[in-house]
Amino acid sequence: MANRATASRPPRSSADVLLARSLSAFHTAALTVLLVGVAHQVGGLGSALAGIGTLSGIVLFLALWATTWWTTHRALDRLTFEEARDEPWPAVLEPATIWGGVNGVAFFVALILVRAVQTALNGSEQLTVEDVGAFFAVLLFGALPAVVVGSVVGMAFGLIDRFALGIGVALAQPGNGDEDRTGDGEGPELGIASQV
Amino acid sequence: MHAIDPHTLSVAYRLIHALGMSVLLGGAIVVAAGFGRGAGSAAGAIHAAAWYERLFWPVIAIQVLTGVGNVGMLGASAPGPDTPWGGFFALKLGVVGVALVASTVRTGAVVQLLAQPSAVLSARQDAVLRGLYAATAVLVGVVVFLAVRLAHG
Repeated sequence: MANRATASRPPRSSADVLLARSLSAFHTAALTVLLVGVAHQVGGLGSALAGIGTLSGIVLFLALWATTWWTTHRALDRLTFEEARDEPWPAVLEPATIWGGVNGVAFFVALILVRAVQTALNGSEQLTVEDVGAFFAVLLFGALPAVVVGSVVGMAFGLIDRFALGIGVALAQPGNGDEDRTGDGEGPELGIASQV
Repeated sequence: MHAIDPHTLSVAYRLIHALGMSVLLGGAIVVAAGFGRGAGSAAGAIHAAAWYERLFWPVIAIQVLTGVGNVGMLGASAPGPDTPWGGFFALKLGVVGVALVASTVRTGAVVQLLAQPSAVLSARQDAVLRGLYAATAVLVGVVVFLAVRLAHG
C-alpha cells in the first residue's frame, strides 16, 4: 500500500519530480483563479485587491505557492506516480486531505504574519502587549477553521488530480496494433508489457 | 512602507504577462510540431515535451499572479460582473480554469511516458500528444485574444 516510510523509498524519479512541481503550481493557480472568479461574481474583486495591496498580494501568492509546493511534495512522498495512478482512490485522497489541512494552517500563518507586518509598518504607534496577545489569539482560534478548509480543498484537488491524471495516463497508452515510431520503423507492436 | 510607482508596476506586470504568454503559446506550437514528424524523432519530441511541462507550470502560475496584479491596478474602480468588460473577464477566468485542468491531463500523459521510458512511440501516442499540445496552443490563443480584448476596454 501507499503508507510507506519516506526513508524506505527509492530516490524520486524525474516523473515523480515533474508531477509534484506541476501539481503544486496547478493547485496554486487554480485556487487563485477560483477565488478571483468568486470575488468578481459577487462584485467585490476590485475592493478586495485594493485592500490586500500590491506587495502584500505578491507575498501572499508566493507564500501560497511555497506552502502548496512543500505540502504537495510531502503528500507525494507517500506515493510514486505509479502508485498514485494504480492505487485505489482512498490511498490518494488520504494524503491529499491530510496535507491539504497542513497547507491550510501554513498559509493561514503566512496570511497572519503578512497582515501583522503590514500593520506594524503602516502603524504610527508602538506595538503593545495587547497587540501581540491578539496576534496569538487569532492564530489559535483561526487554526481549526484553516485545517478544515485546507483539508476540504486538498481532498477536492486530490479528486481532480486523480481524475485528470487518469485521463492523461489513458491517453498515453500505446494502443493495439499501431505502427511504432522507431528509428527504423520496423519495431514490434507496442503493448504495456513491452515498455516496462 | 515604501510605495511602488503604479505606472512602473503596471508596465512590469504587462511585460512579464506578455513574455509568459509567448512562452506558453510558442512552446506549445513548437512541441506540437515536434510530434507527427515520422520515424526517428520520438525521443526528441518527448524530451521537448518534458521541458515544456517543466516550464509551463511555473510560467502559468506567474501568469495568474501578474494577471490578478493587472486587475488589482484598477483598484476599486474595476468594472463589475454585469459590465461587458466584466463578462469578458469572467470568460477569461473560465478559459484559464479549463486550460489548467486540461494541462493536468497533458502533464499526466507526459509523466506516464517518462515513467515508462521506451525507445518507441506508437502512432496513436504520437497523434494524441500532438493533439494535446495543439489543444494547449488553441486554449492559450483564446486567452490571448480575451486578454487583448480586455486591455482595450
